[in-house]
Amino acid sequence: MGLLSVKGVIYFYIFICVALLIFNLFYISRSDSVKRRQRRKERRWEKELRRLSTEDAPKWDQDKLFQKLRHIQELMAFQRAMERRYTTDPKVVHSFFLQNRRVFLRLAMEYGNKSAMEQAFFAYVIAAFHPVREGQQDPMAERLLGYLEDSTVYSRENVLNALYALGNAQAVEQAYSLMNQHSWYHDPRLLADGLSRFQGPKEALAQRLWARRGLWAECFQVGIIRFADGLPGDSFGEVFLAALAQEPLPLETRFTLVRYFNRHPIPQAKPLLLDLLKEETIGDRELAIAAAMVLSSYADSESREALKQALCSPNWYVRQNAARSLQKLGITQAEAAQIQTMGDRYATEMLDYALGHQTAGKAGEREVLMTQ
Amino acid sequence: MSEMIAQGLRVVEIFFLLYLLVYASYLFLSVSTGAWRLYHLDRMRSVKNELKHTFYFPVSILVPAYNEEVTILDSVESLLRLDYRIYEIIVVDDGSRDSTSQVLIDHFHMKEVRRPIRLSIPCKPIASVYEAPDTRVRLTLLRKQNGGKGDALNAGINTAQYPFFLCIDADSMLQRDALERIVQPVMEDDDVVAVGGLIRVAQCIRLDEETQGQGLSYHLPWNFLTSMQVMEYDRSFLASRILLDSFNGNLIISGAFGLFKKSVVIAAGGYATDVLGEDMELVAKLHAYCRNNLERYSIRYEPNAVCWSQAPSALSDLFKQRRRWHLGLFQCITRYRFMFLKPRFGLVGTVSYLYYLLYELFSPIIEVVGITAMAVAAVAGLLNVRFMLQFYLLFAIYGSILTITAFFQRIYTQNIHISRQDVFRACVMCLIENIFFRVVFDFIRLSAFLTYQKHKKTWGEIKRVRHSDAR
Repeated sequence: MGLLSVKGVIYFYIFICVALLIFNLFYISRSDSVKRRQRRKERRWEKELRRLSTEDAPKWDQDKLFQKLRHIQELMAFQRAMERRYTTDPKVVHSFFLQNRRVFLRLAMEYGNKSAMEQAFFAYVIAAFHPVREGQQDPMAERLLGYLEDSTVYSRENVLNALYALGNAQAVEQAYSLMNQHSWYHDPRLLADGLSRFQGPKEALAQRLWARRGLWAECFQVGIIRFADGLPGDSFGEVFLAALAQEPLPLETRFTLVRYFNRHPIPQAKPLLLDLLKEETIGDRELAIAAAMVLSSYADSESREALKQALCSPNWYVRQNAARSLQKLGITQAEAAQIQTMGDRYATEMLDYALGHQTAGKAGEREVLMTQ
Repeated sequence: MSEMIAQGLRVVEIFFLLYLLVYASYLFLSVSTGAWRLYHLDRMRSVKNELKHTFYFPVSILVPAYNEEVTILDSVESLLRLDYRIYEIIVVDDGSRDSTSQVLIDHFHMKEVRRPIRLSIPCKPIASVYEAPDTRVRLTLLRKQNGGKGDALNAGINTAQYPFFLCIDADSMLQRDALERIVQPVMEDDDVVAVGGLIRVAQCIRLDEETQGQGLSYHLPWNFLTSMQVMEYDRSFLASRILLDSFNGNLIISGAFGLFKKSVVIAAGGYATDVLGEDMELVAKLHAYCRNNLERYSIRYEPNAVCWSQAPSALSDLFKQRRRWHLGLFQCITRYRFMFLKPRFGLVGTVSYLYYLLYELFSPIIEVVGITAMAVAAVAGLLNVRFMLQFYLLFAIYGSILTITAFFQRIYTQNIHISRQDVFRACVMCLIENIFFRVVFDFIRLSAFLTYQKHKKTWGEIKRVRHSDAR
């Protein structure tokens, strides 16, 4: 082990680093010309697409179109040009996709053999511009489902978005099943947000997906409930109530189910919500926290009384939500005074804050109430 | 006797060469990994491989402030302009002796409220809570007894409403899309408990209200020390963090910009209040907590989430900052020594710990001992001085090339345009940083060791300037 051998290694590293540096400089200098070339391609596509709505609309050579769009750079230019066209005339874009349907099916096959990153981009293009294929056995959806086999979180997200855009409920269900089989996590917020963009009948989709809940992981269950929560009407109230009362669902799913009754209150849910609030020490505390919040949608004396009791809960979040709910329900001065006489300083402070009685008191009383 | 000295010097030589070889290999590996990852991320973004939604999840932003009357308003104003749907800002005035709180109260017409606060983690008493009546997002000010940055952050955690909190220094400003970027790893993986962002030197850009760090006009600052730090930050945030991130081995998330899952931080005990490096201590604590409790977890680094932070521009300020960092590192490494080489801690307890131990904590001692040994050998006529100088120069050139590679990597992945003059200056700075600055840092870090007893609880005050005057 001598200086010479160390020097040799360092010379080797220097060589590699110089190569890296040259690559960087080459990349920086090349990126401008790549951008220019890309912009030229975009302009070419824009020109072609402008002619779509005119009388001399071009007849696309399907093979040529396929040969062009199978390259990711060309597809990127096409996507940018399409994006601009889509904002002014979505119908023309849709009809372009329908006229060249066979080309896009071939492309879907072609991109199926490429990397997950490129598959994700193809799925993105389909999600953005492809017209709805609601209720039909759609070969495009089937090919997109194939992308999920060897996927990343981004390609899964883009494929799901494409399936939502196609409006194919069966394909969405299959996609969820496949992801569940591989134990892939997908954030429920992304699922719910994506489902809300579904182009077919949303309620039917929610019902179809909820029917499969027992087979799927928690993230899918939560995503579906959040999606249903965003739908108008209370058509899931009774179904969700039955599931909450009878099924051994994961905690996060139960929590989301309880929260559903905030925006969609049904009278049958009230006894269960009151039970959850009262029996917080026996059951799951998280559910009591949610129940304290949801009872603000049930404006009657029974709820008010339960919420007043909950102000003295040992759980800080139950107290907080109970105070907020009482504020929403419009508590009377007599009721507030009654709570003060209960002698629970924590309850009084929480209610005062929720009601906006924000006077800070005298200088000597300025200590902020900090509780467990 | 002379035989013994010669023998001893040979041992030192072998150790020193091995040390340098491993360090050179580590740097090489980290810069190559970083370069590849950034190239890949850049490409992914260009082909729409991202989770782009209108809303992700709500975040509480905690801003601990101590004597920050000069910068606090700019910082809070910039936080109010972030591209994010639901978040809250909590400024914690940690017993400032200046008018940090008053500046905020006056500007935002804040009102004192009696807000009950849940004491999840112990912290010094909060004297008063203020809320702004009409800001775009909820803005809260806590005034509390002085207890240090860790204690201020614990008070902020107790007050935070949302399940994730982001800590940011009062002298830092987030790029407009920083919040959206830093939450991405959490959306990708449910096991993520903490995410660190990229810290860049604020003096490089003009932070105006419209762009707030995006579409930058980027220049290397004229201040010599600041521009050195630009190079250093680029190298360390490109290289080391990305490599350690590849095996969930990051032991530090900068206190200037990090996102944390509140429930896990509370379960682990919150920020330590008796160390100077509370940011590193928290990350080490999260590793220890999750691994001891067999919890699945991931601590990530997101290089596309950018925070612009002021770097010290005076040598005395830099000296204080680096001494504090080194003392913090020392306290953390000694506190978590039980992780070292324990199979339960995997690569964190071996690769990460060893790196921080040998190449961060002990590097000043090792390098000073090495230089001293060389001097002795030269005096004793046992060293080929010319050969040694050549070797040192070679190593410095190697370090410079790595640094400049990291610098250019940042330039193209963030679509920044820089002038030719800045390119030239960057190259010169890299060389100077590796030949000269390294020795200065060794001296600062060595002095931190020597004065440990005296400074182990001292933060040291750094002169602040307004962001608009920082360049």
